[in-house]
Amino acid sequence: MRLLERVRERRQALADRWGDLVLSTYPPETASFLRTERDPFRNPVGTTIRREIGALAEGLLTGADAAALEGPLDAIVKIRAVQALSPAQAIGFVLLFKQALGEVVGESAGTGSGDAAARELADLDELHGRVDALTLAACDRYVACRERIFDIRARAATARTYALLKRAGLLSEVEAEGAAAAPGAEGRP
Amino acid sequence: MTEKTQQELVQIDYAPPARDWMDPRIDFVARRGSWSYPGAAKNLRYLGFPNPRDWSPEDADWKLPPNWQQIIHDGLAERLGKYRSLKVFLDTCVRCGACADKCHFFLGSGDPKNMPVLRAELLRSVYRKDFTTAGRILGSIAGARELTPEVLKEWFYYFFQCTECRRCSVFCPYGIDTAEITMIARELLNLVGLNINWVIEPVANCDRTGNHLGIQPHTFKDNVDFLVDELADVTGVRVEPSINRKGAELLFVVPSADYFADPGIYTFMGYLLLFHYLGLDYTLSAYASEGGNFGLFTSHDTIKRLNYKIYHEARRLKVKWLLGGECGHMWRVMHQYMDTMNGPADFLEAPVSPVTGTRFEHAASTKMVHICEFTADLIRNGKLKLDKTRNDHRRVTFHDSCNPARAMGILEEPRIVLNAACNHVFEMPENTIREQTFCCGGGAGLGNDENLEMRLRGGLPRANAVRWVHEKHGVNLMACICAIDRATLTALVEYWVPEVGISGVHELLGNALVMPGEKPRTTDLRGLPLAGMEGVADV
Ligand code: SF4
Ligand code: SF4
Repeated sequence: MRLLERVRERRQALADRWGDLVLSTYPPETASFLRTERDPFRNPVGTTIRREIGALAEGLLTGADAAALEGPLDAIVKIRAVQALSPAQAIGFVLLFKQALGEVVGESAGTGSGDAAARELADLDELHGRVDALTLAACDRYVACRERIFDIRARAATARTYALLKRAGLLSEVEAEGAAAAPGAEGRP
Repeated sequence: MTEKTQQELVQIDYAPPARDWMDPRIDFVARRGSWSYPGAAKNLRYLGFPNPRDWSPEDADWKLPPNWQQIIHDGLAERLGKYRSLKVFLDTCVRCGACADKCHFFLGSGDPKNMPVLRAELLRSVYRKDFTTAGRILGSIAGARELTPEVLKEWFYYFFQCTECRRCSVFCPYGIDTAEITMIARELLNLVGLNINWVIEPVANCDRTGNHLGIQPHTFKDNVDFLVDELADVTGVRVEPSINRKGAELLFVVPSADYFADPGIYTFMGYLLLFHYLGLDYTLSAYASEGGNFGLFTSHDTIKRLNYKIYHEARRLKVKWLLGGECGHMWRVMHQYMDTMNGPADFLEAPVSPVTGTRFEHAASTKMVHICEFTADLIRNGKLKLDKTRNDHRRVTFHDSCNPARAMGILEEPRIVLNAACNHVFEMPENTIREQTFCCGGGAGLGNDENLEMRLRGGLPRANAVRWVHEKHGVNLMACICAIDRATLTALVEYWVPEVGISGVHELLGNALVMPGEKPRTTDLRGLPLAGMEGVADV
């Protein structure tokens, strides 16, 4: 059986292990809670990570395209981008897939000689390549999240100053046709 | 330098180092984004608070008074004598862990010290050391700790990471209220000059001018006039609020953000429309121009000091009773502290609605009624003509703000108002609302910009439920009855669920309220087109 097929058969074990490794990046007291509480509202971080890691594992094994993985990836990166983690720690969870994979297929996979081993190696390379691509996508998502945080800070500061000046009557603005130019804080949905 | 293998170069240490919870060290530089700037010396000086100086948590030396340990020790001894609840809370905890996973900061950050039981333990361990026999003799075996500078820094970090929301207390079998422990810890920190500016500046401003922002009477009036003009544009009706008018029947007190900041101003416009509709004999005050009381996040003496101005103004203006706007912690102060501190307000009359004749018995002593109680009573008595379709562009959920929900039990009234004003109202999951509501993550003075990452962590459980109700029911607006929430939730949803906006409850009431003599409305109070008016509205 080809390695990829073998892994697909054990996809649940792989996703569980990967999820476990990701949850182990939290302090031990926290990790045990994140692992056990199943209610998504009592344990938003743990259940989100489990769910979205499952979706990502599935996507990696089936070779889903980047767009299909964006949602699950974003859900996890968004959380880790605000936690007390370095950028490497925040996105490094993707690479833990490789560790889980190694454990699931066995250390010997792709090592021997001959055609079978060469095919295994090719399959492994293929999977590792997908993980690398996902890691880079996680970098993009991470930076987008951090930029959003700084946007929120900037907008809050601008809106405060703008409101102050406007109501103090210190602004003389060109009125755009039909609408006053105002920062985004006003008239948000 | 020794060559590293490629493998070593990409090695990332994922697992956090195992650390004993008693280890207090905090790297404030690495943790930027999760602490607030310290109180400015000028504010401490103005208030007559101890140890005014310029300092930063990132400095090694926090410039504490030389005898700071003694000050804290004496301060704790004094409070143990004064507040029986404190001693009970410190002695009773059996470390059952029921509260451990109930704090939004723990759930969002994953930092074990944000578990309420460990947060309280920061103070409790020092209490054990100095005030219990076991702790004195057995030391760390009995969970006792020396009060070192590192421990004090840890207090500063974690007690300004508690929003005093009291969610944990709902789950504690002994009713231990970690928020009260935080309040005492903050009092003690204040004794040696440790506070945050986002708390102490509003306190200083409020003490001086009557509101958090330091808005002076003429600017207060300008702001109100500005909103009156805006209302005239949208509705064609010119409302006539009065300010500092003696002899009015009631004094209306709001959080200052309601007449100053988006999106609170739309809620304020809703109040003004309602009062005009009813022909209510009310006055605003440019002096009692703040419902909020950041004393609650400072010390009991400061709560009393700031709260007093409201009563003082009620007496000066010779009103009969008080009506209060959509503020959160203002109601905790009213409900739990005001009467003991500054009451009973014998010079006022027990509140009676001039429209329905309802006597608000529960406010017989404080003489202060919540606007949602007042409005819900009007609705029950069929006194308001409401056109719900004017909120049809909104699919609304309701966020129970911690203080009105858990400290006061205002659970039904805002829902009565919302359901009367809107056709599409949807609840979030039951373990995230009412008494179990999740905090916005920015209360108790933590809603500042520099602390944004911590707010986003703490607000994650709330946002998670908002995302659910957005995906399931297409919710695009979350209403709440707290000014801090309106400010902090705006940033929160911008990060987690940008499809959802934030409003007050009386903003939506104002949209729906059919005013006598109004022009046909094409927009809501924000100037957004009503459903079906997208092409018509002049926005
Ligand atoms: S009061 Fe709220 S913020 Fe403070 S420890 Fe309890 S749950 Fe956490
Ligand atoms: S629930 Fe109460 S008794 Fe149990 S650990 Fe928390 S504070 Fe202590």
